[in-house]
Amino acid sequence: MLEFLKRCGLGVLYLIAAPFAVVLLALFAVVGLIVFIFMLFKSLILFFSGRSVFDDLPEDIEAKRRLGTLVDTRAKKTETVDKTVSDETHEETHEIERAAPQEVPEDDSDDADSGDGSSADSGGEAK
Amino acid sequence: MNLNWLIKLTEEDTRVLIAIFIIVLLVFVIISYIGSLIRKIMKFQAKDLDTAMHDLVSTGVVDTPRYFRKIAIKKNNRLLFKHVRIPFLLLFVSITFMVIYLSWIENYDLSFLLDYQSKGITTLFFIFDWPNQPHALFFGLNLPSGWPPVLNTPHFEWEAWPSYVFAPLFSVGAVWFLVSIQAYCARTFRLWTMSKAVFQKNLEKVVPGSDFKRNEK
Repeated sequence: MLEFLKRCGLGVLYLIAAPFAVVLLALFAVVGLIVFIFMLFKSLILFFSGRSVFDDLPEDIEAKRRLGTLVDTRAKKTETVDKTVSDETHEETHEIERAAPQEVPEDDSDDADSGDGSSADSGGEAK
Repeated sequence: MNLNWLIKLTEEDTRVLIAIFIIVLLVFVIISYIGSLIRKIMKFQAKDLDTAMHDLVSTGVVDTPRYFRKIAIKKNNRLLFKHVRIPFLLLFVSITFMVIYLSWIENYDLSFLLDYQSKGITTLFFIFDWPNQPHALFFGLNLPSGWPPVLNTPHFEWEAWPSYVFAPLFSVGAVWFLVSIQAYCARTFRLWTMSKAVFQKNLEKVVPGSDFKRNEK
């Protein structure tokens, strides 16, 4: 019921505002027509000078430049982050490889020679 | 003060008043729904300005309300020009055609456009004789009780070909132009409100000194 009354109230408001809205629309129509004719002449002049009325404004170009640099810096940041992450993981895997023969001494069943060699190498490196 | 002795309503008067009251309420409800629909359409139309101005604000190129309005008005005018080109062309072609036709027949009276018998666009529509619509008494109310007599059924007339060319072109162009103007109006309101709202700071959510805590460490 309250919703219905609100609707009725809105209807009354819109009915009161309707003539003003129509006058406003008529004013905008006149202004719009003047603006359109002005833009038409401007576009004709710009057309014969090899440009378009829809070309980017200097502000648009600046915004695009800033957006481009933002994207570049983001890309650079991600690249550097990727690099540091990959370096760290690379070092970690190296460390694991170096430590692997010491931690797993019972792995000499298949490659006994290589195991010895690696252990010698690691011992050498340790020295 | 008791006014009952002043107003004595009969049963029929009460029925009429209730019927009128219900009809008026329904009309208000319908108007409110139409108004809400127009508002929704205008909100949708105003979003073009958001698209045009978003990057300029987000990158900080536009940083004051005055500068925002200046650029937004330029973009609004460009959007208007873009939207109005086709309806303007339709209106221009139709009016030029009609002017040439009228100067050819040497008669500048446009009333033939509504002539449903031979020359008007109304030959393509049903024309009813509304003043002679049948009425009947229903619970004391004089209400329409049937369709009015048909004056014209849709038919083609060779003589009406200028109306067939002019009327559709002109009406489509005019409606399209008005819709574009409505969008222009909606974008103008949007740019005025947003030029203030975008750069407004809210003190209620700010934590004192919050921007400098990181530097203190």
